[in-house]
Amino acid sequence: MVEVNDTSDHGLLKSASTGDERAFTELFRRYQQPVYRYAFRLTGSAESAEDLTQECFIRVLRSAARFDAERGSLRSYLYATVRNLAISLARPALDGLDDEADSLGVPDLAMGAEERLLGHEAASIVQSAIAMLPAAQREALILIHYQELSLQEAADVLSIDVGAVKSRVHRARENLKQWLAPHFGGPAGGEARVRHGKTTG
Amino acid sequence: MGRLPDDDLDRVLDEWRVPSPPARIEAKALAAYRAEFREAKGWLGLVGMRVAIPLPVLVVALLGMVSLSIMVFRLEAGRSAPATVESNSPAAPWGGLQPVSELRPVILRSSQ
Repeated sequence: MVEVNDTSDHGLLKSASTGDERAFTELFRRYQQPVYRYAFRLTGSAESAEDLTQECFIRVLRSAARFDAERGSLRSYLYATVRNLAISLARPALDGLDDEADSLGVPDLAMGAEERLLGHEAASIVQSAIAMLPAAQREALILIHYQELSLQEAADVLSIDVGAVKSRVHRARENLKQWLAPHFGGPAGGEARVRHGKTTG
Repeated sequence: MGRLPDDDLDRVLDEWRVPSPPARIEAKALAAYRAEFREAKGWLGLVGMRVAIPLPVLVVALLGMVSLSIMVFRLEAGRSAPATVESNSPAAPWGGLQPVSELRPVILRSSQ
């Protein structure tokens, strides 16, 4: 039996799943920001992120009995739930999620990227570049760089091993280094073409 | 084509920021939570209540219940056995009449 003052993730989860509204509120406030941001980065839509965040918590509470703190953190469990929801509700946006193809070997994509990136603000350039990554690389990059998960946590969310996470992040970064260099400068690119969030050329 | 160094890439990636969740999201989530987990409380909640039981415990409990049922059945069968014998006694079909202990025949003569 979970005590009322058990404020651990697991304790709050169990209390909330039995109708303890205060436990739910505490749990929601604890994780709504990272869950919402993850959902936003996955879907690119504020509205979808809002719906996914709400549904994610309800789904997790429904299956609270199956959560095993020994096997992973609640954060990973929430992210995995958001991911599954995003896949089922917005499959077109995540099409090719299991695509292992290395984009460096797809020159058309890189060329299209440069054309599409010209004339956009820095944030849009980065967002567009990330959106053009193969979904498997994009997800790994988002979890590691933006959500700041450990390799193991990201592996738990994606249901792959740590080595695969490392590989996907590495390839994502290599792609982005190449695609973004013309816009943000680099060793061979001379001065940065983007300053203070605006493109200069 | 040049490539961004690692440090520069990290800085560039941080350009993509996402907004914070809207303030209404908590109220919406709470409403969804209440609809799912609070309204089913009370007697109606018992109907939909779920109990998680480890499989070995469930098997042992079921075996125990079956054994107990068999024991009770046999005990009841043993208690009801004499009544069954009694009901099969010769007197029973005669509505409780008992056989006489001494036979006294009476001869009735008809007057001529």
